[in-house]
Amino acid sequence: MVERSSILFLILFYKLSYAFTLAILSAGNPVQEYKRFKNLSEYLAKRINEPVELKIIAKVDQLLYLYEKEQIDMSITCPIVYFELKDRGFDINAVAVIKINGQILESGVIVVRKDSDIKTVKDLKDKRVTLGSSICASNCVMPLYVLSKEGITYEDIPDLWSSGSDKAAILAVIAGLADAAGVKEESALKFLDKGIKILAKSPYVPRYVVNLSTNLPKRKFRKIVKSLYHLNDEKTLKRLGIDAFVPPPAGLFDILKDYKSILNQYPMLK
Amino acid sequence: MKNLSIQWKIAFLTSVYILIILVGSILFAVANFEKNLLKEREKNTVKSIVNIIESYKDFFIVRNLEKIDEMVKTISSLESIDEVVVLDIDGRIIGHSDIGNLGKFSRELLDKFGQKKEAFLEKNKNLIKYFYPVTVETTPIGYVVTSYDREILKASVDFDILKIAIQTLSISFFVIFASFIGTFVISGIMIRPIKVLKDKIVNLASNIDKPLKVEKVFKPKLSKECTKGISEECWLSSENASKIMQELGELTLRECQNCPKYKNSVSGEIEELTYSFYMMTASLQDYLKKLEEAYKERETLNCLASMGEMSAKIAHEIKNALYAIGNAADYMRRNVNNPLVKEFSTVIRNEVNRLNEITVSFLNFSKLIEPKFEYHNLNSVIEESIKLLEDDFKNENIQLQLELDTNIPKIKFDKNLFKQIILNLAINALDTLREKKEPPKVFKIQTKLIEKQNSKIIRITFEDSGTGIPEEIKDKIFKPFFSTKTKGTGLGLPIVYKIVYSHGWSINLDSNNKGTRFIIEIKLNSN
Repeated sequence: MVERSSILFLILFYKLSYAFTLAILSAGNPVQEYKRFKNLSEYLAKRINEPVELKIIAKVDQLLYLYEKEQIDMSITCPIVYFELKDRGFDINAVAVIKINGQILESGVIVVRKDSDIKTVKDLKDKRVTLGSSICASNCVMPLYVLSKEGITYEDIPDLWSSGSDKAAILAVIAGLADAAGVKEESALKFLDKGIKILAKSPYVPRYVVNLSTNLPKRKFRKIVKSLYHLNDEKTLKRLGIDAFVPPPAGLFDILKDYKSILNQYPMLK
Repeated sequence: MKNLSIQWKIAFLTSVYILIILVGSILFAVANFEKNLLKEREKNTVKSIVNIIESYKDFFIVRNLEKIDEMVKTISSLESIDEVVVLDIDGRIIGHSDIGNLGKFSRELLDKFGQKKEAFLEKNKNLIKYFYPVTVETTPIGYVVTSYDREILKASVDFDILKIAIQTLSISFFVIFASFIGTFVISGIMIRPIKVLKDKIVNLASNIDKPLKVEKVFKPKLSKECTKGISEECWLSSENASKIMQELGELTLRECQNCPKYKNSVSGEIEELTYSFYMMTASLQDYLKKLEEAYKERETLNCLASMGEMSAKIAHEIKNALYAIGNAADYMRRNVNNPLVKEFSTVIRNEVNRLNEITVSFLNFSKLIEPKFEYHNLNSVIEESIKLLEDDFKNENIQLQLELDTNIPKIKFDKNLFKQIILNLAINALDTLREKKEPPKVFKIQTKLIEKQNSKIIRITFEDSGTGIPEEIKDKIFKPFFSTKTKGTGLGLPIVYKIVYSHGWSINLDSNNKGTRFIIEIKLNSN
């Protein structure tokens, strides 16, 4: 009798203390990001009828640590991180990708000053190159992908660093602190009239991936996925700054499968 | 403005005064405020620039140009900032209000910093450049040059001051409006008594002869005693103030204004003005009454003078004729033995004598009375005079009473003329009481030394218990030739009046159906 009561109490305690956890990996302003994704957590809480805890995580290591501790049920990351999570054996599935400005894909570009004497990617040898972000595919891995395709490795570019953001990287190029910058195509387009030009462009990769834990009850799993696809409230979408959550088409991540071999060529960034 | 009432004038002028004070104060404050505020705003601008730069210092080290650009934008968002230039230690522009300038070198700006480790200002007319070296400990890690326009800052300050001034002026206009209303109401309340007084003064001209009507004077906390002793009750504490003031007449203005009780009990100029008006009105009415009396007296005297002159001429002519007629009648009585002639000549003689007496009286009345003043005892003269008529009173069963005050001092008067007064009044009483059939038949002469209005007065009363003088002839009894007696000359009382007047005394009549009293008052000071 006592044992049964204890089990019931534990179940009740678990029910009361458990909250579905949504983690967002972002290098942006944490407050802004929290405000932004709070709309999603509230939406999901209503749909699954249970509290949703929102966590804004700035570092990949921290995200990995929380996954190890099984404290994350759902996360939104860049495709590289998704692969890293899969590679480490966490039970996740890429259930959706994010559509922004009508696109689910984005590409990385290498930009230089308009008046630069760098005409091709090969000219970047021995030049100062900066990257927008060290955790995203489009503004880190994809520009490196472009370099590696041209046979340029870490040894060819002794001065390679991450500026932290695309804007910082582009401004470094304009200010002459860097000879070239690897950034998202979208970011570069905003500065084309401010003294830069696009030197090279990478293939397209998915923007953001929604990773859902496969350990969740199937019914709940399906309900969450369905909720994401059915999110069409304009107000919520506008606050999230996205168009929609859509199912990832097959073979979308193929280009990133060898991201490790690319990063291996640039050990400092790895 | 001239035609406005005092109430409007006070309200208007007070409002103008407040307006001038407020507007003057505001202008003064604004003039000083602008200077200080501009200085303060400049100081704050520089302080803000420094704070912003210091908060972005880390990004100079890591060369995060996004953050430096954010810093440039933050500084540019400050009021009046014209341009922000951020240099690295080599003079390369790594931040600028215009991104197009990034990457350029500004040796000129770098040279201005030179070895300076402190911030400094460079002024070029209204454009001020603030040079700020970004340092870690003493080592420079970058430079920021911020330009701001003092004119824009001033315009901004002026705009702020204008907003405050408009608000203050709005409040001021409200204050002026409120003060206008307040002053109008308060002055209205304060001026109301003056308006009432004005109306009373206007009415006074046409209603001066009407009884004085005093409003709202009664002060129940005051004692009823008249501290000046001029009335039985103080009008300030009496509900019957009008009557008391009217009785006091000119004394109110002369005595009450100096009365400590009045001074202590009157509060405020308006109340004092109101009471002064009442006192002035009472005095004025008193003076007018006296003036009217004096005028009547003068008329009577004029009449008497002309009558005297005329009677003197007539009496002289009649007297001559009577002399001849009397002598003729005597001759006929002596020389004609006809009994009828003798009888008629006797009648003629008697009538001539009577007419002669009247004529003499006329002549005496018409003569100018010039009293011979000598010290006499008034009571002795009365006793002496009345003795002459004692038998007559006895014969008519009239009780003669003398109540003579022994305290009366000797005074100067014409003994014979005074005797004439006593005899005339006594004979009048004798004639009146003779006709009265029912007792009491009393004739009383009383003398008394009294004090009236701080003066010693000898009052002589001649009182008979006759039937009195009818109301309608009271005004005529002192006029010559007016008589109710069949054999009277009508000159007895006019002669009395003339003698009294010639001595500077006064005579009054008090008569009802129980008798008549003639009261002669002699002010001792007048002698």
